[in-house]
Amino acid sequence: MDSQLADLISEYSLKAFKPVPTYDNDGDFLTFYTEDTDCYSDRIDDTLTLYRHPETEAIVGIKVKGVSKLLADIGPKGVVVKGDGFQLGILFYSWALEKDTSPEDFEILKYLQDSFGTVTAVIGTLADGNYGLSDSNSELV
Amino acid sequence: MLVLISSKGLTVTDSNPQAVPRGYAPFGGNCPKTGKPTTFLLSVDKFKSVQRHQPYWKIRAVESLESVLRAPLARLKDLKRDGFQDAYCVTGKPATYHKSNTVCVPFPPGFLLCVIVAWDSRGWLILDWEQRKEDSALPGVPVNGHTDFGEIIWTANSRT
Repeated sequence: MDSQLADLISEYSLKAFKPVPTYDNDGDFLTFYTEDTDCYSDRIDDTLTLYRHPETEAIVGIKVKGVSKLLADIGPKGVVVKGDGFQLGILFYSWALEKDTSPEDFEILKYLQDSFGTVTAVIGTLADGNYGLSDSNSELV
Repeated sequence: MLVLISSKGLTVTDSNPQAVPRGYAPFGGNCPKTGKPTTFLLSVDKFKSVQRHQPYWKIRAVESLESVLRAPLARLKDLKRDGFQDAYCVTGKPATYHKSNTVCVPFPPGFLLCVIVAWDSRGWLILDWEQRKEDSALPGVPVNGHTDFGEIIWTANSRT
């Protein structure tokens, strides 16, 4: 293993898990794990992935992809996100609005809203009129 | 020419490498596009974020990224997301899986470690890594690999 990655790993120290939404600038996605547990990715579509426990199938987290576009799309519909806190529910509604929502999607939407909808995230500055998220891998709360 | 010094000795990677950008840790692997040796970049900020806010297994899986990228089971192109048509999913099965800091077991059967990478001006970036269920009919390929990705470009099984 290359020395720099090995050094990075060797500096690893166990820290208490803190369930906080985080944004990845390189991949333009948001992840939110509710538990420090085993999980696998269950891809719903190009926007939404659910993290499920491999034995119970319980949802233990979510990944929302294309966050910049979701926020930009919802803006013209009257929702304003400007560097302040916003609830993850905004992303879920934007996801539902941009697709031909099936009954299964509504079930997922309701679950997401009930489980994660009021979780607050904070993103950085806007850039060039778009909902740019300035800080790489920024902590959103 | 970039020469990486690892436990396996000297490894010559890209013939025209770029300088390692600040804030990224480089490591070796095989290019998902060509299969030839190249350099991957893991964001230090991403590592720290995973360390604090993601499950324990995921931070320990960082130790397996290089082995997966050096000897993958399959390579899939196109994440079917706007802007990520040229990104790749590289799959593998590490030897071990850390359930916790005290429990290390063999990697779960029926699952794959999928490493998501994309090329940009900085080089091959590690976007994410995750576990997915393996398609029992297509070893090395995630379930729904044909629909979730644009193309299965290579599998170790078929040697295509």
